[in-house]
Amino acid sequence: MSVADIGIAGVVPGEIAGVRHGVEHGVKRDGERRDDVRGVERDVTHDVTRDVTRDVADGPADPAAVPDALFVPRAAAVADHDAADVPHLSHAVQAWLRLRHNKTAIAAAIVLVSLFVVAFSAPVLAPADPNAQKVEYANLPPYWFSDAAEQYRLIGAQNQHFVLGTDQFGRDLLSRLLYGTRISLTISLVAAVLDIAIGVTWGLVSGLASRRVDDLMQRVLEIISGVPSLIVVVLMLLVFQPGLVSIIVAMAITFWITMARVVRGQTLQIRSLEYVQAAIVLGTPRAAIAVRHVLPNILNLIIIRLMFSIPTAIFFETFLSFIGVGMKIPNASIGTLLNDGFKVVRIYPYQMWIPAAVLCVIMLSFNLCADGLRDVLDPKMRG
Amino acid sequence: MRRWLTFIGSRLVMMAVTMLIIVTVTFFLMHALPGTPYNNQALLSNDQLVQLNKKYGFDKPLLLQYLAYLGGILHGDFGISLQFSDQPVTTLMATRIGPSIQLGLQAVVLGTVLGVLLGALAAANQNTWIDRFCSSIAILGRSVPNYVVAVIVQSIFAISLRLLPVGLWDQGFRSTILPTLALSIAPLADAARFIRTEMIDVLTSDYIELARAKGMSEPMIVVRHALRNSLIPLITVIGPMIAGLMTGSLVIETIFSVPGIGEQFTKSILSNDYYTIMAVTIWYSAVLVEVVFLMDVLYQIADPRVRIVGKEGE
Amino acid sequence: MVRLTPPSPHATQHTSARRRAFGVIASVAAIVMALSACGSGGTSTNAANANGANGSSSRTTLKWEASGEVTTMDSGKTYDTISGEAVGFFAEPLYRQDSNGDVTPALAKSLPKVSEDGLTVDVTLRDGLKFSDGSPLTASDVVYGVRRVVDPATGSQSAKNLNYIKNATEITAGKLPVDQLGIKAVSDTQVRFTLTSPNPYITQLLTDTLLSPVKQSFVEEKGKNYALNADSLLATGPYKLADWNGTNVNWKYVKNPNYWNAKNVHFKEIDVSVVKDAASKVNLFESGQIDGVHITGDYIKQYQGKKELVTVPSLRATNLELGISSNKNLQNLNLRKALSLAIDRKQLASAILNGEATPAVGVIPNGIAKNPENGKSIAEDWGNLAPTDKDKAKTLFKKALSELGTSSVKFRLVTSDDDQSKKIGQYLQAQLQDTLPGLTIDVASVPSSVRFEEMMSYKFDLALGGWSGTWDPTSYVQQHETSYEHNHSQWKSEELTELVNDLNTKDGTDFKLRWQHLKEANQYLIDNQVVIPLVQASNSYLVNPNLTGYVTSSLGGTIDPALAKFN
Repeated sequence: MSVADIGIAGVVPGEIAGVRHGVEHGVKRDGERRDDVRGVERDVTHDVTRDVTRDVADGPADPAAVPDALFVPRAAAVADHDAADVPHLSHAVQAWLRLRHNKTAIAAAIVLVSLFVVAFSAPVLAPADPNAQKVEYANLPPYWFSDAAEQYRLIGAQNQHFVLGTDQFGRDLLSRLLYGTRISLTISLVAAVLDIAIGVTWGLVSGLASRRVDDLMQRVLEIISGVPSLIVVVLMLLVFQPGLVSIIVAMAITFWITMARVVRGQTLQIRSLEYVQAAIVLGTPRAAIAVRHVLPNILNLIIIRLMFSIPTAIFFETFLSFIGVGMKIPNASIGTLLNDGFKVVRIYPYQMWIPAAVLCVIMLSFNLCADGLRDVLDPKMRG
Repeated sequence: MRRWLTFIGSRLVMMAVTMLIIVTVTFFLMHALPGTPYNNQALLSNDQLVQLNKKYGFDKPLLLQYLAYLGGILHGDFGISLQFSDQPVTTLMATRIGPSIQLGLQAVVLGTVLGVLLGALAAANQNTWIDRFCSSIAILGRSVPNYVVAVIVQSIFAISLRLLPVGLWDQGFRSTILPTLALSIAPLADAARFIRTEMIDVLTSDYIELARAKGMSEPMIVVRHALRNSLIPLITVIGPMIAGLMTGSLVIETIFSVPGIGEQFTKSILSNDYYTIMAVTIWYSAVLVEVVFLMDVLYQIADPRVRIVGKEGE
Repeated sequence: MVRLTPPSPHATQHTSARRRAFGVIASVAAIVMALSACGSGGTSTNAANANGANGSSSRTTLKWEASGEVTTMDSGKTYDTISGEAVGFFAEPLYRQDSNGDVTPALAKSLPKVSEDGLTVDVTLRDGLKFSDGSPLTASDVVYGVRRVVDPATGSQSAKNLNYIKNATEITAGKLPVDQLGIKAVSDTQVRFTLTSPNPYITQLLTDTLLSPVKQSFVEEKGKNYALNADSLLATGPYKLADWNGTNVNWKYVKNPNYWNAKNVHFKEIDVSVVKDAASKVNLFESGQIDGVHITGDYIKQYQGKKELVTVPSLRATNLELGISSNKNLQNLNLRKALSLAIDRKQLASAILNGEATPAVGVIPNGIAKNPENGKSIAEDWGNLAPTDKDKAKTLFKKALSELGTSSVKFRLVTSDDDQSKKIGQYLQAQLQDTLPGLTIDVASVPSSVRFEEMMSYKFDLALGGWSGTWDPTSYVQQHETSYEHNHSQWKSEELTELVNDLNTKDGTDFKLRWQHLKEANQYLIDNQVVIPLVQASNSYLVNPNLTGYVTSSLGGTIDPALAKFN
């Protein structure tokens, strides 16, 4: 499959800015990376030396003139040993506070949530059975279109109200769209999660392993990415039944590669930090290092990538349906709706543009949310 | 110098091994696909099938076929296309690859140039309306599938306005405009966002502050320092982009009736045209592997702080 | 000039984030609305002016279209319509057929002479025939061409089409040498065919371009490269092939001055472009870039009643094949009949396939033959043997369920993955499930070669198949004969075997007897519902109304503009 078909390069920029393909990263930004390592809160500038109010015009202070009462040692309980003078907010809360200001991302999130709710309530909301054919009502435009009333009357459908029209078999497009969105969202969520799971594990293992094992794993990665994924996908869909499960498996198999590379890069970088080196030397098992040190730091990255890979998964699913190896007949997904609509786009344009609009809204919302999240979570973007 | 030679040498070997493995895996996977490569199977008698298999050597055990294929490659014989009645695959590829490469490169160039411009503008004016406008374009670019863009531009420019041809490849450069446009949206979006992120990062770093403190004008800073330093990492993003686009986009090629390799490849898979599948796979992975290699080398040259060559052991 | 301000470290994005989002949403919405509204009126408004500009009378270049790349230009190997059409421009057959189905001599001088026993056919060629390179064309070139087709070394997938020639089957199977083929050059201008058995359709069979002469010395000289590009081919027909390198999507035909009928060829050049996308075809036709395109689907509806639309019925039958031998439920006759009665073929043909097909009336397609006594067509004479009766279907299905002792039945329907097949599959699934409660159908769309493999394994439930026979109607019933490889249902019947044997050997040219036997065979297959006929395909085209003189052929449903001209 060519990457061109899913509309993006295999590598998503921005969040992987810190990782070059095949390159050891640690060198460039060692010093600057310190402050995103967990455990060190971002310190508000606080000048602790200003205990004494002094006017500059007063001239240099005479230490003997400072009353003894002021020299009170700070009572430092062990408990607030590390406390700064700002309220201790957890990482997530801080992120949320920052995110709140990003109206776009909030709006996008609301749209997304509503989409999810609507789509997953398809069984309740859909006015008709999405697969029920009534050929007499084929290819009717949405009833609120200007010239629709006439067409409806001509075939005796004047009391039907197809909100989004019908397709070539007379099936209600609104219902198909609802169910289709549900399926597309499901597929992409599951695929994205699988992608993250496999990719993260691979990347962690590869990044923390010995040089030889790492090299081997990288080569395997290169090989897997070299075999055209379309062959694997088609093979799977031919050997197993076409449908939900095989699409998800096909996508999971091909998508995790970039994630693995990214995670590996970050892992290598974190690994080169002193305290991690220390942990290794002290004999901490790799698994513990992975979970305790690496994972929390790349969590941001993972979340961001998750948000970005969902749209990619949706694209891929629509592409598969587009070339005809997607969902099983007669089930609808956004991809099959697009495909069916595309074939008649010059005669019944609404059949393509409506699913296309929905797809764009979904993608936009995910991207805007992901952008917002990234602006908030990615330390480089904090300005 | 010696480090370089060792590096290049070992990488070349590595690339050859990788390609060999890719070819092998694809070969056996491909033969696992159900179906036969004969298009007219409906009318073939079983006797004929036997004869045909004998003629093309498909009756030999898979391993022997595989070795024969490898041997053939060493002589430059990549087999024949059964879909196209025994055309040598090299002829088939030669005619089809051109358009895909042309479109791919044009799209990457157009997309990257415009994308860098957009991203730079956005970064230099972070949080103003310019930034928002440019970023919106970038986000839209990632949210709309390229075939939707293709249908849109085709409707507007070719059908309604009649400025450009609806399809086919017969009008020279004019035929390439619309498909390039459709294909460039994705690289544009990616490049724009990437450059924006990179540049924001660079523009807030210490040495830029120093330049400002020294009194350098902002435009100069942006162009001389920020842009330059942001472009280098862009190399790593463009690499896979090129590799992907060069293998042709099935959908765009179909919509605009472009005689490229993308559409050919999909058809070959679906009709079990073994040799064509193998040849395109080899092409694809060769491009990918080489691009990766080149990117690493370029990156090493451009940014000497990064050390790929002569890595020390851990 | 844009003011470049240094980014402030604490800048946040609050100010006009909303405006940005709104802008994006508004533009998307605007695009959607604009396109929905303006897209619908696009197709037919341009029809009037586009072709007017190009319809000038003495145009000598025809712009034509092919639906896909040509898989082969070797006249001995063509097996699909696209290649067949492409080859037809430069490979002349012995005889041609006009739009009425009447056979006229082409390379031959006169109609073939058939011997008394019907086993020998003599074809006399015209005098002075030449190949496009000027060399003389004789009977031995015809013999060489035909032998090439059945020679296993050539690997022609259409060799089977010549099984009516003596020894062809054995030679193809590798059991006899090529020179044993029943064809001989009696003289420079006389070819003698020896047939396997008397064949009343031999005249029509001789219009096949598969029999086109090939020059032996040329083929041997070109070796592996023969027919792989335009320079490795010789023409015997109205045009020569040019600019074809094997896989391109544009090529040309130029007038062949050595053609025996060159004075009736009106075009100097024909430019062919491959256009695969249905919408693009219409667009290109409307803009005047192409003079004739094959249209499908909903576009046909858009052009109903307009003079650009030309519909050619073909004799390709689309059937629902039943894997009777492998599925116990399918072995119940009532169930099979119920399936057939539940399908509304009229709706399928007109509404779903938009007139790209006509409902089938039986296993043998209507129009392939007429009753020799009264000239009635198959439909008129034998009636509609594939009717729709949903109530009866329900009753029979209930009966079948109780006979089978089950309350539900599930079938897997396998179709090819092209659009039309998927459409039919979806339609059948919904209709059958709706009409026959308790029936579940699972549709699987796979590449054609996979579907064939499944059907040939004889282990399947339902399959959407098609059958294109030859001019002999027997080929349609022969498909289900016990020993025939493509008898996918594996139905065993002595009665049918006897009928088929009679038709192939004993009946000879007794058309009345043939008609009787065909009727019985057809009836037998329907009575036992060995297969469920669906529709007969037809092909629709948009043709420049100024083009006249093209020939339509019902076997493949094609249009041949070789001898056409512009008004």
